[in-house]
Amino acid sequence: MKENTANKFQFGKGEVDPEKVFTVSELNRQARVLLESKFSNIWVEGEISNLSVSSSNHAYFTLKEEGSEISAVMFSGDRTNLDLDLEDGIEVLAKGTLTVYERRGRYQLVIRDLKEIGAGKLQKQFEKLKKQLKEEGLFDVECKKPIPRFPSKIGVITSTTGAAVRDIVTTIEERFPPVSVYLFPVKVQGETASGQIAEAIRQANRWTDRLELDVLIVGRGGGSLEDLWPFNEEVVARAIFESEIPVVSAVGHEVDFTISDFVADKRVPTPTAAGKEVVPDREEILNLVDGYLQRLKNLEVSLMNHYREYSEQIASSFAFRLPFRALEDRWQEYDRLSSDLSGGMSKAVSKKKEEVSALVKRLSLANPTRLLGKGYSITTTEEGRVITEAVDAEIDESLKTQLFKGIIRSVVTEVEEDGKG
Amino acid sequence: MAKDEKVELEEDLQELEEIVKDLENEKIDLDHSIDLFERGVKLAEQVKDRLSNAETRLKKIVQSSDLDLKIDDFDLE
Repeated sequence: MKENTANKFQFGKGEVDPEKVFTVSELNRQARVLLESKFSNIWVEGEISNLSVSSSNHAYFTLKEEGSEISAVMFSGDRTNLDLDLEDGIEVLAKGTLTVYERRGRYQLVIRDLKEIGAGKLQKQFEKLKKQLKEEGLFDVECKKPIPRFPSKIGVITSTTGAAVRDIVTTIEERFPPVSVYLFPVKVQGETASGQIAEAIRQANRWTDRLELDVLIVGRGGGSLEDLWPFNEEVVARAIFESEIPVVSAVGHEVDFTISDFVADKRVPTPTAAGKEVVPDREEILNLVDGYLQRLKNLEVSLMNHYREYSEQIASSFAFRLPFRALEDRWQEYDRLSSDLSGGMSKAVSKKKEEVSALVKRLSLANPTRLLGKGYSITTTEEGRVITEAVDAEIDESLKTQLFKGIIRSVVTEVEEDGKG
Repeated sequence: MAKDEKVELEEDLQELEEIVKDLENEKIDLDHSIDLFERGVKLAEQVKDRLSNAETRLKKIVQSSDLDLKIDDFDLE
């Protein structure tokens, strides 16, 4: 048989040319060259499975999709540049070259670079934790504490270096200055961040007797999913849930939702929005108060009218000094009031004073004692009832007549009903 | 603003609102009306004073543990 291999021989129906018989290694080499030239630096999409990492840190796995798979390897040198951990089940886009592992005659993809795509590992973790905490009741509406309308002390848990702290503080300063802001400096990204954030929330509560914080803002500015990740950690979620102080979560931009947002008593889209959420607008309140002052001013007029009627009633029912005593009392009250006040309303008060003053003047013009000086007199019964019509007097009745100086007593001898005075 | 002042601010505003409404309802006798009027004006001034004469104070927690709390002033750079 050996000689035959050197010569042409019959193989089945065909003829074999010994020159064209490959050795295994030759075949593998040529297959490799072929594949490498045809499939060099290509992108492949698939799911990682059967991952195993050798002691030298090379990663061997299968890239698969429904009904098809391919072997893949990523060498340790290429893995060091990777910003994600390889893991079974993650969808990746891999860049590499198709080649043949000649020792085994297996073709495989040598991956140089790799990106996670689709619902990645973090996304899956997020969904899992969200589901778990929701089932536990951490997101329940009944557990949400109201944010006080007028806080005086506000805790802010964020980084001292980011834009977030500036956005929060300047918004508060612009809207409602009469507050204190207590900053808890923490890292807001990286591995230690979640622990620091959770601890700061606990400390704010721990020292509540001294700090007396009315509300906490927990947050940071925008970033990648990885940057925002601390706010998706369970330890932060639990600290927020356990906080006795209401927590406002302000993480990232409008579109970013984190676990913190779901647990917090209030979620706002940005740090600036957090500033708006925790304090009222001072201008709005001042306008409100001015509105009340205006309404009070309007009431003043009708109040004064009532008062005038009231005073005139006294003046007409009691002929003498009583109404002036009452007015003097009022006058004193207004003096006291106007000295108590400052600013805009004291104007209103002095206006009131002028009104009272005018009233007193009017009344004093009608003051009976002044008229007496002109020779008029007032006649009353002995009991003091003013006699304004002759029929009110009876024959033989004793009457008193008040003159400018002194009183005359007289007895009625005749009553003329139609007599002209 | 101290804590009780904050509560006062809210209460003052509430009282002020009630006073204005009560007065507008005109179901109150005159003497009481004048008292209420004065009270309303005073409350309004009080609230305005509080809101105008205040600046935001910034503090930083420089150290906090279960045993120790250190607070310092803080400025935005």
